[in-house]
Amino acid sequence: MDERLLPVNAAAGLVLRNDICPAVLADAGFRLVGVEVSVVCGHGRVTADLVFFADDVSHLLLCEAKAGAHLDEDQARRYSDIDPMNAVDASRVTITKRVRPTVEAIYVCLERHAESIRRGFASAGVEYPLLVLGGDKLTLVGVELASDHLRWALGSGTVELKGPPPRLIPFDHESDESIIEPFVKAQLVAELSNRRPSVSVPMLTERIAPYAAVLGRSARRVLIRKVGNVCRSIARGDSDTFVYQPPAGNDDGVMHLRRTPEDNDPRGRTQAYQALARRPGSRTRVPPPDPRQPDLFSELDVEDDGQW
Amino acid sequence: MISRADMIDRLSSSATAPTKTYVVEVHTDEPGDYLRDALGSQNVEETADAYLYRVHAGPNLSFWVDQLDERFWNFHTQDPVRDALPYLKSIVDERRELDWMWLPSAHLRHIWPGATTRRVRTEFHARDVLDEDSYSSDLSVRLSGRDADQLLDYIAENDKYRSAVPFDSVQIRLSDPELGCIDEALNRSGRFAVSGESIEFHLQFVRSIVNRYKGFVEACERRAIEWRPFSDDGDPGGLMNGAPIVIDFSKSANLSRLLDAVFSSRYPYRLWGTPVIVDAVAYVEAVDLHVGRRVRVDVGSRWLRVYLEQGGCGNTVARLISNLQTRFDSALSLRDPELQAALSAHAGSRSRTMSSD
Repeated sequence: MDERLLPVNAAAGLVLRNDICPAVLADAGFRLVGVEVSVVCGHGRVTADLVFFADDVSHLLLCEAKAGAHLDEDQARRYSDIDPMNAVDASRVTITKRVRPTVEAIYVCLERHAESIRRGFASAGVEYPLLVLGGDKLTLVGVELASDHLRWALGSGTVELKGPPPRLIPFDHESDESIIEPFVKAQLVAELSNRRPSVSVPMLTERIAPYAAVLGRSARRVLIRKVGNVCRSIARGDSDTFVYQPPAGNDDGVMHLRRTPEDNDPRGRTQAYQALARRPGSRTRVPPPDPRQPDLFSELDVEDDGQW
Repeated sequence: MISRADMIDRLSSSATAPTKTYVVEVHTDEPGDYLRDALGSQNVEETADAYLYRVHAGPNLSFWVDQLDERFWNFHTQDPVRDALPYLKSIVDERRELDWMWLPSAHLRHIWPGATTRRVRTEFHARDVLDEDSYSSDLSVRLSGRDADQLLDYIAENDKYRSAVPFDSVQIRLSDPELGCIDEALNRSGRFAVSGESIEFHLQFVRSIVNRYKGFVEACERRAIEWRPFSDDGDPGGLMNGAPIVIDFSKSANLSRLLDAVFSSRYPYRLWGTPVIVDAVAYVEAVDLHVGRRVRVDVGSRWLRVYLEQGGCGNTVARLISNLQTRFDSALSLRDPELQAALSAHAGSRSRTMSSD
């Protein structure tokens, strides 16, 4: 997963019940009601990465996940000027109890960027609770700034994570192409196993990043371009299997699949898939025990065929 | 024209010529056309029943194909397993829309309320996954006799072996005052064989097992992760529903060995993938070669996360679980309580009272 996206995935994981990491927001009654939600505020608008809503108290939590150390100070000021009713409309939530809606913003970042983000807050003249992801825990910095609802959800302010955050959004349009490559490769193998002769790059993008639809048109366009570049690179590395046809005019880029492991007999098929899993130049792994090694017990006795 | 009643009359449940039933999971919107395409239109004969077909697969091999359950088709035959099974295997292996059932161990352990188990078989083969000093890297037990399953329960009571006792096959005796008495054998791949007094009893028994399994598969699919934009105009914003499914292991895995076994593209997992290990957690963009779909998996030493995407098949999760049970940890569990209940469910209540002999 792109490390930049750890904060947004960690935050989203807080409403996933039955995951490895504790669902402290879900336990406090919050649910995820929007991703990339644009809310009009006094001097413009902000686009919150995630919006959570607690039905019982009509409380909206707008989450800004920082991929790096930079804080957009104008954006930070705008978060302080959000009308809860605008946030309700923007996130399309249904308020089932007649409780006046309230809203608060929270930032999430990696531990090594926390100090920089806090300096950004000071420079912008704003204060927000900051959820810091470091090691195997999430820590709420600025507990006193959090609403009662958020404080109740996060308890002592530290959430011990039992494993890595879920990979709901493992990469996006700003991710390096080397991070996107394994996802493209896996989808191409899926296409090969279906004996598809070709796949367009936009289709490939849609299949590897179904969340691109909620990131917006411009992000999707950038992502398609990057997936095309990855296709070109993969085709260069294995021209016997793949041929990349770049976009031209109104035509999308296309990856042509020249041969598939499915054309082989069963054993050759497995070996062909295994060959696709090997990276060019990767070192030879210590081989696992050969499953074809006969069970020596079976050499001692006549095996029942087990068929009824 | 032949009818469903003809099928019931012609299928034998005698001890010398037992009926075999193979359950195949099928993804198609055109069941009739798909059957003709897969088995050859010249081999497929329609019947008076819109859901029932007669298939002549060879000079000495024929099936009744019942599509009453449009996703889990039943292939009934009286011809020898040595002919029938390879024929079906070749078709299921070749087609991405077809798969077997992959019954979790507990679905075989609790096969029918009050049924008397006559025969059990456990097959646990984890030599390639477990360290050499593990207590049980291979365990095969076949036992015939009344309440044969109790031996496996006894073995599983010992902590050293409890993760090495998956139910692979069982044979039970069922009796009912109206339907009579039958002996049913089935294995984890959804293959059934019956002898006894009532083929109708057999058909309903199969349906009951399939329905419970289908409940588990569909519960997995309800967890599929879905992204839905607020509008179609290309603006940002939308909703996410669903969550990964988490499997908890009852013991620690040797991560490297487990990954080599699971993502080697080999049978039975048939998962392609190139794991990337960071801080003792493996991240895999895998491909389920059974169905030709990508599936994201995270693996720690004590847990595994599966991300089923919208439109993904719950059978992928069921197959992974069934194979992990027989090749790594038969005592694994699912963190989601509803899924765990479906994984370990006892047969539910029946409308008629069945008794066991």
